Amino acid sequence: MYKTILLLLLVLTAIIGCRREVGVIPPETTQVMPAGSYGAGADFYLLNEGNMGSNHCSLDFFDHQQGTYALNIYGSVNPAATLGLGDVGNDIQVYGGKLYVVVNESDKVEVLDKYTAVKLCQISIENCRSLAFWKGKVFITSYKGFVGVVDTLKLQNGAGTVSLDSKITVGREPEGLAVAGDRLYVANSGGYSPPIYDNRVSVIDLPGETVSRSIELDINLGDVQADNYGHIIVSARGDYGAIAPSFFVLNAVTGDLLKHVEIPVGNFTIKDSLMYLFTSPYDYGGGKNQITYETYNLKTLHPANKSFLSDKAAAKIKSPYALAVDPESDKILLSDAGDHISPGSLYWINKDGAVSWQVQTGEIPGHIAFVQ
Amino acid sequence: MSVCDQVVLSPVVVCRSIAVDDLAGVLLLNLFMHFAIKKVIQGWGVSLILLTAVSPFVSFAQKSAAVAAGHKLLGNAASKDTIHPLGDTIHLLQDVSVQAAILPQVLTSIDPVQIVTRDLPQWQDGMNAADMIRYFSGVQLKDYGGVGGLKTVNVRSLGTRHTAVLLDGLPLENAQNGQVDLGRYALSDLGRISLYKNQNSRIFQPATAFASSNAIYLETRADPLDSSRPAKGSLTLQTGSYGLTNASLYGATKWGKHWQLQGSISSLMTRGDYPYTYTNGVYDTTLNRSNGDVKRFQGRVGLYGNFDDSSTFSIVAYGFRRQMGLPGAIVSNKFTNRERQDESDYYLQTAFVKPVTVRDKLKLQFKYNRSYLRYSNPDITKLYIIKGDTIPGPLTNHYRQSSYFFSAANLYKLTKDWEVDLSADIHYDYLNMDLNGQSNPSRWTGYAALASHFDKGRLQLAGNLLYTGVYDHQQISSDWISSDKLSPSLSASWQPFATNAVKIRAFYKKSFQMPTFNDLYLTEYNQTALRPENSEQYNLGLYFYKNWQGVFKTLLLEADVYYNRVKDKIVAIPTTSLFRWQMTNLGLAKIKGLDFTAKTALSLSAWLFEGTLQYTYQDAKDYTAPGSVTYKNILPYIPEHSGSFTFAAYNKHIGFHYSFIYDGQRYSERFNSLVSYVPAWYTHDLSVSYGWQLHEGIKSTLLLSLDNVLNQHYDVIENYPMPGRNFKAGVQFEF
Repeated sequence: MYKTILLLLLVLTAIIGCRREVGVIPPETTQVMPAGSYGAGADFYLLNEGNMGSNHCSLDFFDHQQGTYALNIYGSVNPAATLGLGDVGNDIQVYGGKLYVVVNESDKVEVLDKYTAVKLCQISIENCRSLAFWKGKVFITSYKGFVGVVDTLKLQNGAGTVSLDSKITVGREPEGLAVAGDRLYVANSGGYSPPIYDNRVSVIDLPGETVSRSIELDINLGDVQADNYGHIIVSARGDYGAIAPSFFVLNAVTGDLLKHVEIPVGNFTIKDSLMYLFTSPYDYGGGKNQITYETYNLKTLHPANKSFLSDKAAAKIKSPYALAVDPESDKILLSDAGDHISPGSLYWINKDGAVSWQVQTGEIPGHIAFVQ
Repeated sequence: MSVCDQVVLSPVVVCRSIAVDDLAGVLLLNLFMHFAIKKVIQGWGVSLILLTAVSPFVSFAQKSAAVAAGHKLLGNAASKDTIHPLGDTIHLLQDVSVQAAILPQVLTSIDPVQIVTRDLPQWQDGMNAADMIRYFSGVQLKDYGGVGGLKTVNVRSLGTRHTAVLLDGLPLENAQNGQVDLGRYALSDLGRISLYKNQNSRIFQPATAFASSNAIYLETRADPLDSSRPAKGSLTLQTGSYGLTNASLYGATKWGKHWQLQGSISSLMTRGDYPYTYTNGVYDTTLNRSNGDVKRFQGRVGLYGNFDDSSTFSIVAYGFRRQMGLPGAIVSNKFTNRERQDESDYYLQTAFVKPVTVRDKLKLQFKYNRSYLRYSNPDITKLYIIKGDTIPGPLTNHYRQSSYFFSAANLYKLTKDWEVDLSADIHYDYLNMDLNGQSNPSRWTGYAALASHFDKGRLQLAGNLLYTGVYDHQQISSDWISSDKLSPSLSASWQPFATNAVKIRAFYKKSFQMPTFNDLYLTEYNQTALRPENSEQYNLGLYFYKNWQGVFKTLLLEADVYYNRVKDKIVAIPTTSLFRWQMTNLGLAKIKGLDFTAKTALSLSAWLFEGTLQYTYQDAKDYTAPGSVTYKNILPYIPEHSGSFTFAAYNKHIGFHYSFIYDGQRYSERFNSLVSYVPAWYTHDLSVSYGWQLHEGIKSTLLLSLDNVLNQHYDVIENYPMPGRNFKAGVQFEF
């Protein structure tokens, strides 16, 4: 009997002897398309938000000349960054020679080198959401009700954790922001207190860093983008029930409301005169779940009546999330977040609305920044 | 032949013999009692068919009454016992000696069962029920760290909601996350914890207990009293690492001829600021867990009556209060979280058991439970409408739940080998949440079960049919949604050889679980459309038990292989806050597994040695959407291999205990990858105790324990670090 016990103990030790730690996770590179077949275009970074609390925010990189898509590059490029990129990435943009990544639940904005993704330093800011740039300064919205300002000259390699130069108080739970001229337009959502959402756009006079006016639009304002025709487009997300999403076109100079377009926009992006958008299945209780992929002409301020995605391709997509257009070609990038828990997919759409290529991404592929 | 029925809530187990009586009269009595539940009669009709189907098995059993009686009570009860040097044994059977390591319920149960009692050395080392449950096979314990961290149990990968937790026979109303936080139940207040996979061996219980695939029975401490010891008490004081202080007082006294009064109070406080480390081989960071403080108080008082006609009555009042911080997930650059949780829970429960006739026993139980939970997050500012004014304040949510529970169970002995139970329960749950603009959900749930237990020597058969009716007031559309279903279960065990050392057992069970209030109504941002989960379990097991005279005392070997299938599995994935979960219907999960337990006891001069080895293998995969990235991936947090080994050595004064727990590698998400990979972990725990007679009638014990001896830094749940090496020192007085 003792022998049996001893044997069992040995077996036990054998099984438990090793505890495999993962260490630095290497990127997974996929040859999505033959090298050179992409044609003219730009490289880009895709930011996967990651499930909240999982610390799985990740960064992917697409090399358009090689046709390779590298999944999860941050860990191998920056192995010394404590606990990696962080939790819930919310925005990514390129400015100057740097790549800025907003990591919402990690209370920081990572500043990386644009070409190598090597970490230079980070900005400490609580509950950060989106960013915009103006004359060497970066402006970051924080859900705590302010816009943080940092001079980008401070953001050099080795600067460590940089704190904000100043804070501009805006409305409740500001989300997107965009610069037009010397003004910064900030959308306030009020998202922490449904049904008491915020409905204002705060207009900040940039040289003075003060809020010059508040424009009341509709509840739960989300994204703000500027076009080349003197417009500021602001999306309103509704209350996920009776009040439908829509978007507003403002005069970028005066801030006057030019048009309230009642298309229930989910996400949108602008290239030249066209606004590419997909609609949102906003009413979770009701049945308005049909997602359409449309374009809107910003010159004429009318729908362009042209779907950029074929029905066959649209049927593949469960939950569209990120939307971007290659600035140096006409290829459209659309991501599918799937069930928002497992990895999603990224699709390259050509001008006929068909899917040219696709690749598996990380969790919740949310934001794209082109390297230019 | 006598049947020993364990009467819940009574500290004394009564063996009774029940003779034949008028069948029709009892049937009418049953129908009269349950006339209000129409579907029961329908179920009754179906189960009559079931009973007739079972009766042919009667002729298969052939065994001599003597051997059968011996088996019935204890296995080889003729051998002498070894006196347990520490603590007391509860639920002693009259005139029968108890073998040191193996309890009678384990030996006679049809379904796989594991039991730990107070007299196990590691009991004194534990802080709460989860500390003991983690030693059971087939169990995955999810522990969010520290003393206060949420601890939930998942048996055989079915999901936490499929395991009912019953306290003194009555189901614990699901706590905020639809899961019972085992961290709330202090071991100082408990006497025994049992885990039944399927529950067909204990049929005289509320119908609700049959509704789950598995059940954990927590039984409060109830020391037996008699004329030589009319009053008992114990005081335990304990301190430990990270500011742990724990005190508990227990008392039991006889009150007159028929009554007993039992009560206990306990308090626990800890700072919970243990250090933890994260590394990837390049960076290495060590921090202290913050916001992990816990203050817990609980008190119970119970009155138990035992009358001359063998009827029993009990009434218990219980109060619990806990204030703690929610430390949150550790993510890059954010190592503190300021969320707080303040909860209280009170209940009043009464039970009345009456033998109506010689063959018939009735049990009536009632419970009223009121719980309150306040969650707050100072980092989020929200607007609240108070008396018409809009005022900003830190995010605070209040949840008030009241539940009423009534159960009636009737056990009827059809023949000396065959018992039938008819139980019917009604629950009413009401949840008051103060979220802006949401109305309060309420739910009526009715359960009716017909259970049958047939025991003829070497063959045992049991089955039950459960009817569940749920009427839910759905806050979105204000319509009452209803659902009703029938869930069957069958178990059998057979001893193929005359020596009755070997037993083969099998069971089948089909059950479903409704989404809880939290699944459906908790989120403010969107209403999740969830469907009930359906599960099917198939189990086949082999069991070997033998005891001897001499040095080697007992050996128990159990091995069960099982296949479980869960449809519409609702998976909860934690988010930044322990309080908010992401809920999704997984679709289809298929689980294959093996549970193995080996228990042995040796006695050498004055020393008793006990060893338990437990191993679980699970292959739990997601079969939801063929072609999706998660197809055939392992379910979140299910390790392929896990197990534990415990060793104890004790004599009259000294006790020594060692335990080892291993949890294999697992994945934190439905998609298995290096990113969601969570490494295996294992801990070694040691404890030493020394007991001596302090005074006439006062026994004291000194206890010292060191947990996670090798200081392994690990996460059970990704990003929720567990404590490294920590110690506890305590003293216990018994009088």
